[in-house]
Amino acid sequence: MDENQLIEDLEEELGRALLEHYIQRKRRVFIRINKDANRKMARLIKEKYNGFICVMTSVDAGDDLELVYHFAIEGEEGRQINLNVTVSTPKNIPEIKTITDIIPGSAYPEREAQDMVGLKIIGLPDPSRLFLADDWPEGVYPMRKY
Amino acid sequence: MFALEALKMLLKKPFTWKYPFEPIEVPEGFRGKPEYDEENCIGCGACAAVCPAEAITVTEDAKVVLTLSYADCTFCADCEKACQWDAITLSKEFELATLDKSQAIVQIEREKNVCEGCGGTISAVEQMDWIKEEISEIKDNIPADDLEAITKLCPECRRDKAAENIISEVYS
Amino acid sequence: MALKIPIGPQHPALKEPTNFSVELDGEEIVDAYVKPNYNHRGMERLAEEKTYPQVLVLYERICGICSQIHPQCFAQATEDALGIEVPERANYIRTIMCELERVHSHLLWAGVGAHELGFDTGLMYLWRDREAVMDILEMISGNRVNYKMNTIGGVRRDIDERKIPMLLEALDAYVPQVDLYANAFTKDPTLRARLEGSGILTRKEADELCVAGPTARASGRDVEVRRDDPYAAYEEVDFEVPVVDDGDIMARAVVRLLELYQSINILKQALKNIPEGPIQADIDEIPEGEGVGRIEAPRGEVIHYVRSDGSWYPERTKVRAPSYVNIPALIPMLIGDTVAEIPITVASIDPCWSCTARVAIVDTNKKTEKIMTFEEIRSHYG
Ligand code: SF4
Ligand code: SF4
Repeated sequence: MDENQLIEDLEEELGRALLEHYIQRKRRVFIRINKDANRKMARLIKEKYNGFICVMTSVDAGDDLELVYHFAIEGEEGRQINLNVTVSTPKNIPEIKTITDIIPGSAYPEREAQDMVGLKIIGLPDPSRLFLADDWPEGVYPMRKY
Repeated sequence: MFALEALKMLLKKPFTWKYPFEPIEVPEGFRGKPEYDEENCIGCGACAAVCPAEAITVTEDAKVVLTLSYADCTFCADCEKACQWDAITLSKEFELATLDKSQAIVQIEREKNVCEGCGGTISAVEQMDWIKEEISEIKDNIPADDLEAITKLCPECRRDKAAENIISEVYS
Repeated sequence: MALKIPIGPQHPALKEPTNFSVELDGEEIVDAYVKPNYNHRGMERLAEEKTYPQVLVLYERICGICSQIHPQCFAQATEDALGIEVPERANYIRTIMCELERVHSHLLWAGVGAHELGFDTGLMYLWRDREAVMDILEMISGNRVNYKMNTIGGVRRDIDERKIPMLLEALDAYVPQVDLYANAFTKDPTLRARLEGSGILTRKEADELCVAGPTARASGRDVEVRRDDPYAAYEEVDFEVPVVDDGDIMARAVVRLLELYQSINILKQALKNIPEGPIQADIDEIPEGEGVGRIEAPRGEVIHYVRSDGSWYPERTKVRAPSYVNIPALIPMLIGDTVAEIPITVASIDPCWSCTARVAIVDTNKKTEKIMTFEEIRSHYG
């Protein structure tokens, strides 16, 4: 599957949940989806695109909190496509559903997102702190900017 | 296999250096202690602006004072690259350990121009001279008086003077 | 009754303190827990306060061993975000630096591994030979570590043409040395007894945890960024990706030793074919944008994400080092092993704190940990 086919396929699979998309260059695709479609996305990555998660970036974007999933999926000619999926949620409802039960490798990144910007990952099996110290105060998030 | 190797090595010199009892040589292009050349420095502060570790700081009061702390330096040579006047270069010296932190600091000072209007300071003398030169190269129809004023008056006094000139022209 | 043993977080030889806790049934490990939260350096936050060139210097210090990989990965992500084209020669120089770093890192790992097994002769020999790569790196970049070779849009230093024959010669001298170690690790009966069949990570576990690098390739998970998502000049060199299916510590050792041959091979090709030309691109403007850099570091995939808001300062940067995914994989590896295998199993993924040491504070902490278990048992039955 090349980059254009991937976008077509995503349009078909996600429908209206696919909000924005662009191909930056070969092997780099950026999309933005509705946050409720993240579990569907994870299932697609695992079952259809034969991919895995690299890491997630949590961003404080003013009124919203964003979570960028960095996936690597099978491309053409034995290469991989790096698919970056952004979801955002308003700061007063900082909740996103977990994908750890679908891709177990997401546990660390999701716990890190909870620590760093205070996103609440719903359904995370072990929601304990990952990088923040045990005596770090509750409700203070080091990567919050605004 | 290793037994044979070990026997061979018994007859050889050790691979380690006897440093610090014998000197050690550093390669071409080694980045060691940054050193100022006070003669060349014009006090522009470019080195401080690029320094990623904030090892160089500039304070401007009566004089421009550049303070370089080896304790903070990362030996990245960005300052050397940023300086157009070859006034800071990274030497080959690396034995910088000291028990007294004040030993790990060097300071250089540049004189500043004094404003003829208000008596305050303007900027480093050599830097202003250079700016004057650059401006006259870019634009050659600047009146000599205005050019001179750059080094003699601070921006505020220059503004006041310009305003005065306009007013006097209008009302004369 | 299960006995809990804490390992870490503090040890004089540790670079990055991490706390392990293993639960034992006699000699056998029945559960393991990793807590990496002892010390967070906050580099991503600091990077937002620095300009792009300054971040390079900061990220060089993420790791003393990968001090080419991290700034290069950040530079690649930034170049994508800002739309900068890197000149060919710079790409080749980056490739050469990456591979040199892999050689030195794998030799370092093999030395640490040998030491964990009590094979200190191996440690001395491996680290002696590692010095030769360090000298090459020093010759190219000026310093042994923190090379400061990268800049946004290329590299800062050129490789002198006159040095290339010397470098090629030094690389040729490496092959018999690697043969020696490959033989020692795979043929020696004592080492085989220790390495084979312990610390097993199955293909399924590796896929689920998305592990990376030699740890993944030793479990049959065929991921390799140099081939899958080529960067720098990797599209122009030929190399093979060794994959072994066994999933034990021996497999991880074999993968790394085979990679050493490939690295020497890549280095020779890159040094011979390096094109002429400029080594830095000009930067005219800083647009808004985002970019992702991916690199195969000696331990696995490094990925950096950069978001630019059009100013000199990055709006958000994200760093993922390979141990981030490989550390969770230690849990399935450790379960079922014996206590004596903890050090070499932990060292086998080549974590950045590879000297995670002997159970240094067992005696002081055993008591409290034991009481905790008692309480648990009491509440359970009481
Ligand atoms: S050393 Fe160079 S860059 Fe720094 S203030 Fe002096 S002239 Fe300017
Ligand atoms: S070498 Fe780098 S860290 Fe040291 S003073 Fe110069 S710019 Fe600052």
